[in-house]
Formats: sequence, C-alpha cells, structure tokens
Amino acid sequence: MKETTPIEFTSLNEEGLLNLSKERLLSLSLPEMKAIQEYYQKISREPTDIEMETIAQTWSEHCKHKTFKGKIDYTEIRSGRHYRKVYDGLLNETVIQATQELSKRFCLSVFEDNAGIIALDKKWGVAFKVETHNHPSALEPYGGAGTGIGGVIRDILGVGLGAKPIANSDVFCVGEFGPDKNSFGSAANILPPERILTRVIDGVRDYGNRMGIPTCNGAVFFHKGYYANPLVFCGTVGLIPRDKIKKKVTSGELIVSIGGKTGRDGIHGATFSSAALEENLSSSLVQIGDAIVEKKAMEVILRAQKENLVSAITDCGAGGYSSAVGELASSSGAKVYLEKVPLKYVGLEPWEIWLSESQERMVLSLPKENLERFQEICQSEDVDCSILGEFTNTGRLELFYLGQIYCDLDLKFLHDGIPRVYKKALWREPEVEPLSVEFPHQAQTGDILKKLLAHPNIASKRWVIHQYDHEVQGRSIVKPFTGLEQSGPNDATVLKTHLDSWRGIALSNGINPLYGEIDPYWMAANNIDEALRNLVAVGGSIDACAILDNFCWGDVNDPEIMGGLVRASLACYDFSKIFGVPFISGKDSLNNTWKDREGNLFSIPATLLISAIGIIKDVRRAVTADFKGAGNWIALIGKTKEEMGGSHAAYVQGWEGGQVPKVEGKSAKNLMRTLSRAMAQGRVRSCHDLSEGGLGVTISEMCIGGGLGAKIDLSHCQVCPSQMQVPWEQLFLFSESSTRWLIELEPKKVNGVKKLFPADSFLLLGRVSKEPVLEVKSKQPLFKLKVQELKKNWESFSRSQE
Amino acid sequence: MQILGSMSSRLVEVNSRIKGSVDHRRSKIEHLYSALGFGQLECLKIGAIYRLEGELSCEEIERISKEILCDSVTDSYSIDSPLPDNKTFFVDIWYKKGVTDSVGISLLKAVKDIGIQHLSGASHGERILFHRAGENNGEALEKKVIRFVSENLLNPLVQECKITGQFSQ
Repeated sequence: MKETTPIEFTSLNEEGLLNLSKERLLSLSLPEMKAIQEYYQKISREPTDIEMETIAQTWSEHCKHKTFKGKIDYTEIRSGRHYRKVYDGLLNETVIQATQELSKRFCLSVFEDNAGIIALDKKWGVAFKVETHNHPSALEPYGGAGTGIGGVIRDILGVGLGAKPIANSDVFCVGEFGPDKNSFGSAANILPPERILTRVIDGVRDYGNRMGIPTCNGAVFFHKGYYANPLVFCGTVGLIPRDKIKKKVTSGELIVSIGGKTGRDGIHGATFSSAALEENLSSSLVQIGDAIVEKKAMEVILRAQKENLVSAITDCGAGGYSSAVGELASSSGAKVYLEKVPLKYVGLEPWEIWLSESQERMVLSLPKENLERFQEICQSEDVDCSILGEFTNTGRLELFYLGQIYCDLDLKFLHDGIPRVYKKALWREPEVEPLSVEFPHQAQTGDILKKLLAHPNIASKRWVIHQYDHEVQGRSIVKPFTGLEQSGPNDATVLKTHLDSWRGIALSNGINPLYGEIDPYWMAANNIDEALRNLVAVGGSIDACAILDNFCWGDVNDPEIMGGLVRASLACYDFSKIFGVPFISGKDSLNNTWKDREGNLFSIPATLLISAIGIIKDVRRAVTADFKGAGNWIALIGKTKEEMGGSHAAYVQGWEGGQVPKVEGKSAKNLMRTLSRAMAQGRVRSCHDLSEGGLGVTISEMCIGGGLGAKIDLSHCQVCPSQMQVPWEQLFLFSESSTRWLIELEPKKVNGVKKLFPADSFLLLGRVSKEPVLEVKSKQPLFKLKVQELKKNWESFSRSQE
Repeated sequence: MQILGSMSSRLVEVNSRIKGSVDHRRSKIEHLYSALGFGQLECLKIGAIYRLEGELSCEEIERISKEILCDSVTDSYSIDSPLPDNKTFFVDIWYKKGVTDSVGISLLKAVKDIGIQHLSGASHGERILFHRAGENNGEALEKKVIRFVSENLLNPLVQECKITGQFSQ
C-alpha cells in the first residue's frame, strides 16, 4: 500500500518555500507559498504532496486568472502628464462590466460556465468557447493542438447539462518560415515554425474530423515574435436546449467519471502553462488525445442530457480531476476514492492520478437513482464509467486511496485563500512618427499588390482548410471558400442550425498583433471591429451578436507589457459598449515567454483574438464575397484614412511610422447596422471586408472568387485627411482603415443603397467586368493585372505547403 | 491454423498502391536532407507501420491487415517486410513508451471487435524506406540519418526511431 507523503513545509524559510515551489513545478509565488504555510501552521500539520499539488493547480494562473482578477496599479503617461488608476480586478472592471451594463436579454449564460450561451430562438441556445493550448503545442504540436481542440469540445459538452458540438474554429499564430526570418536561432529546445504549424494543423484535423465536427472558421498569422511560442486558439460552438443550461450539484449525488483512462499525461499542465518555455521539459507535460474515445463519450453525454439523468457536468481539463471535482464541489464538498480511477498502466502515485491531464474524461454529478440507466447508456456506447465517490455537504475535499486519507482540505481555503496578485502597469503614449517613406513610383503599385497577395498572412489558406472537413453534419451555408471554383475567401462562416428552420449562426474572428506593437488599445478596437464587420459581411447583424476574448500576452511582470494588457482591456470595455455587443466568454493565457540558451527571456507580441457569433434570421439572405455579375457596380463603404501604421503594406515594404487605424465607434456602428439592413433586404450581391492589405487585396480576392474582373477609377476618391501627399493612390489602395467593405450592387439598386449611407461613406469605384482583368486607374492608368496572375500570387504560399 | 510459437511481435507495413500517385513528403525529405548539408539520400516510400503483439496465427494477422489496417482499394500491406536490398534501409518512427498512441489503442479494440482475442498490444508508427544513393560509408551514414531523422522528422520529446539496414563495413 502506498504511504502518504507529508512534505516538510511549515518550518521552511522564504528561500526554502521558493525552492520547493520551483522543484515541484508548482509555479507559486512567495506570498502564495506563505499563505499556504500559514494555513498548515494554523491546523498544526504538514501538507501531503497531493494537497500541495491540488492547491498549486487550483491557484495556477491558468485556473484562477489571478492577474486579471488581481489589483493593478496602472499609470498612463500622455503628453508628459501622468494618470494613475488602481484596478481592483481588471476583467471585472472592463470586459465583464461591459456585458453587465449592456444587459442583453439574449445572453443566457455569461462568464459562469464552461462556455458562454446566447439565445438562438425560444427553444435553443448556442454555446461558444475559444481556448488556447500554447505551451503544449510548442513542445508537441500534434498532441498539443489535438488536445486543444479536444479540450474545447469538452467545454461545450460540459456546459450546462451538455451541448451538442456543431462547429470548430482554429486560429494559429506562428513564427515566420525560413531560417533567415527569425533572429532567435539559439532558442532552446524549439521546433522550427514550419514543423510546428504543419503538425498543429495535423492535430486539429485528426481530432476534429474524427469527432465528426466541421472545422469551418479560422486564421493563420505569421510573425517572428511567435518563433518559439506559437499560439493555438481552438473554438467550438454547440447547441443546447434552453431548459438544460442550469446545473446544480446536490449532496449525496455520485461523482462519476466517463471516457478516457488515466495515465501520466500532462502532469503539471496547469502550472506549466504559465511558466517560460525552456530546455529539459518532461514528456509527461504532453498529452496526446484520442478523438474516438471522446466521440463515444459525447454520445453518452447527449443521451443522458436528453433523458434528464445528470445534475451537473464538467470536463477534465487543466488540473484533471483536481480541477473538475474541485469546481463541481466548490460549494458543497466531495469524497473521492482514487483507487476507483481506471488507469492506463500501473504505478501511478495518488497525486498523479488526481492531477493527471489525461484526455477525454468528463466528470458528472449523478443522482443515485439514475445510475443504472446511465450505466446502460455507457455500456451501449462502449464508454468506461467509474464511480469515484460522492458529493458531500462538509465543505471539505477528502481524497482516499485504499482506505487511507491522502487529502483533507477546506474548500473555502482552496478556492478563496489565494492572496490577491498586485502588479504595476505602465503605458507611455507612443510618439507617432509620420509615415517615412519614399513612395515607390506609381508604376510599382501593381507589384506591391502582388507582393501583398503572396504574403503568408494574406495568401490563401487552402492547404490548411482543405485538410479539414467543413461539411460534416451538413449545416454549412457560407463556407471558407466561395465562387464557382471555390477559390476565393469568405469573411465568415454561416451554418444552418436545424433542418426545420432557416435560422442560422455566423462565426467570425478578428486578430492583428501588428497594431498592438503601436498601441494595444487600437489593436483591441480593430480586432472587435474586424470580427464584427466580417460577421456583417456575410449577412449577420451586430444587434444579435456576442463576442469572446482570448488574451495571449507576454511577461506580465514587466510593467510596460502589463500596461498594454490594461490598454487592450479598456478598449474591450469601450467598444463592447459602443457597438452594444456583449462579451460572453473568454480566456487569458499570460506569460507566453521563452528562454534562449543564454537565459534571455522573450515575450510574444501582445495578442488578442476576438471571436464573434451572431444569429442569422434567414440563412437564404447570407451573402458571399465573390463577384457575381459583369456590369454590376462596386461601392466602397466607409472612410479611407492615412492609416498605414501596422499595415501589411508597411510590413512587406519596410515602411515605418504612420497612424494605426482608429475605429470611429459610433459611425462604425451605424455603418454596420445600415449594411446589415441592406443585405437583409437582398440588395447586395456580394460583400467583402477590407482588412490586411486594404482595398487592393479585397478587390483582388473578390475577382478571384468570382472569376471576373473589375475596372476601378480612383480619380474621385479621397484619403482623409485630404492634405495627403501624393501618390495618395497607394495609400488609398493599401491603407487599413477600419469599418470598410466593398459591396457589389446591381445597377438598378445603386441609388437606393447609396441613399442609406452618409455621403462620405459610400463611394462608387467602378464595375465588375466580364474579362478577368483587374484594371485600376486614377488620372492615369495605375495597373492592369490578369485575375489569373493575382490568383497565382495569392495561392503561391499555399501551393508551397501542399 | 499455424500458431507462430515464440514470435509474439509482428510488423505490418501499409503503403499506398495507387500507381502514379505522388507523395510530396518524399521529395521534401530528400530536399531537406540535402539542404541541411547531410548529403544525398533517396526516399523511396513512406508508409504506416503497426506492431502487433500476442500469439497470433498467420491467418489472424492477414485478417487484421486486410480488414482493419488496409483500404483494399487504395492500400497494400506486407508483413515483416524484408529490405529490398543491401543499399536500402528502413527508419521506423514510434511513440515512446508511456505516450498515448491513440491509433494503437483503437487497433487493439478493433481487433477484439472482429473476434480475435489473442492480440495483447498494438502500436502505430511510420516507416520510411531510404536508398543510400551513393553514400558508401555505412557507419557514418547510419549516424547521419539518425541525427537527421531525430532533428527533423520526429519530436524527441515523445517519439523515437529505429533504423534497420546493413551499415557495417
């Protein structure tokens, strides 16, 4: 029989406490170790190893979000003046506060369960969650990404009493390809970005496809700052009956685990996720998933939900049973008998059983009278089912192994005993340099466009998308690609939710870390704007829409990096309020850093992914981005300004300075609503938003999708402010000002649509042409390029990866 | 039925049988080997490999290969395939012990589902067949290939490789 292992702890000095935290990979700070020490001094005993591990996991940044919930002393320096504010819980005072103030009736569950839920109709809700799985994907991209998607699918299975997953999304940020593109050649223990991305895609593909869930929305962003610390965002959408959203654990109910067996996979995953990547990490930190096991567990959960067998459910994610049982029992208590856990192999210590992050496991609270029927379902689906113990009303977490007690923790201390984190944050207003560039001769405008189209961030993601099954379940209406040859991109995905209704949902995202290098506030504003304008571009509406935040940040102990996080959070509050679009869920992944062999610490670029989900009343009104008919007019909606800061044209051309795009919130909201109205009335034939690469890229992609050309005349166009230096045509074509779309209108509908928009936000640029050539002129011809040539450039990167 | 006595571990190799199909991974591996300065190497084929453990008869192994491991239209299989000649060698990439091999787990279950009860273990990997392409120093080649594969074709955190061929002088 195994013995409990008390740790000599209560007599340690500060150095000893820190050493213990490091040796056991607890990732606990000195104040946290002291708080634990005080607890054990008070109860006059030493902790067991399983208790220390349980506390460390529960108090990890991953599980407790202690930076976002901590106190932040923020100083902003603008025009030489200092402004100071102390935030007592940044998330509560920004993102969550916006949602509370908006108080939308369609929000059914926000920030309280494994996913956010909005109303689809009177009977159904739609759950949405996006997770990150960054450090595991850096170490073992296939397993890391596969378990990333597997984990977020379990979040959907574990929301309310279980939702049915209907779509996956994936967004990856990776280092640029090629040894010359990265200056971190001596980074330790790091796979090159080419291998990371390839295997990350494999991982998402194999898991999503095998689960029978379409992966239908996403993005890939290349930047040298992600060289050794890729970001892997995985999202899942689910359908849930509205009367199955609330869960409640009652004392006396059984703690039941279903799904995978337990091994040493992912031990310390929760604490590791907030530590810097360095050499000599153990393979036990890595999990490899098994989609088939999860698929079978999914069937059990959905059947049990239909038959009202279960009172509560959650998934085993970071921290394993410790986290799952700990969360469900947080307001009651639990007794768990660890020898009941089915193991992959013998030899696991009790603390390893408890902390293991083996995949495909769900924990349920089951009334005893439902056990027999539940076991029948498990048997019929060939799913392992184990009764681990029962929920109590003692307020204690009690763990036993072969008759001996290994853990006896006060749940109040476990969940509320963590000392508040206190961090300093500093933001200096950046000095904006004017765009310093000798503009290339106008004759080179076409060459810049081709270069942009070929840039991996803009180029076709065909080699990724074609590996995913985006048709399974038969719901897709607007797909990743569009046009007769399915070769042009769409802005968002539209799915029909039920066979007997035309109602549907739209999914989109917004991400651009280049803006964050100038000002994270405007990065966040632009990302929200991008996610929403993508949604609007396919026929969605910001009036029936919600968003999710995923902050991935670097070393938040650095006040300036922390200052950026405050700035981005403030923008989330401001623009959520202005647009009237609530946040319903989110996740932060902080301290995304790595060390090179010399011990230098690198942080990733400040990154915020905004994911949007909207309800579409009638999917037959959905619009795609490919040109539909020669002779139709092409109109630009929105204002184009001298906003080249952080633009892709500046990136590929090496231009420096310039203004980062600024979102004019109120007029942006009006434009979105007006465009949605026009589209709902069936007045718009095609629509595509302007984002990376600006107008030039957007019109090229619409030509590629439609297999048609366009004749564009810029001679009546203006760049705001109008005192711009010539050649303003390049600014007009490549500026990345926010809240803009190109729309295609039949000639008879032009005047009617024009009247809907303010005069400065509607500009007729030209017409769609039958000949597949993009011809752009100002007072003189600028360029004339065959659509085939544009397509060749746009698809070149994808071809090189196939 | 022939029982295979003490031989309790068998390797089944599965490859595409579609004539004229191009596997870009082969040329990528060759290009990478050369671009990284290892020299010249010819990558002849890349396929899946399965290790079956237990007292299985030949008929049972054939049945597992045909019914579970192979798509009879697109794939071919061979059991304990020998090297074509002494100029060729296999590199087999496997998950390390203790790492979840989900394909192996599914295989174990699938074999039981078709009524074969003697399979005690199953694992899944990848087999790459190389031709030494003019490299005559066998021992140096073996070291180079192991280094190349370990650094470029597998993740040493969770995977390991085994090389099979004639390398001694």
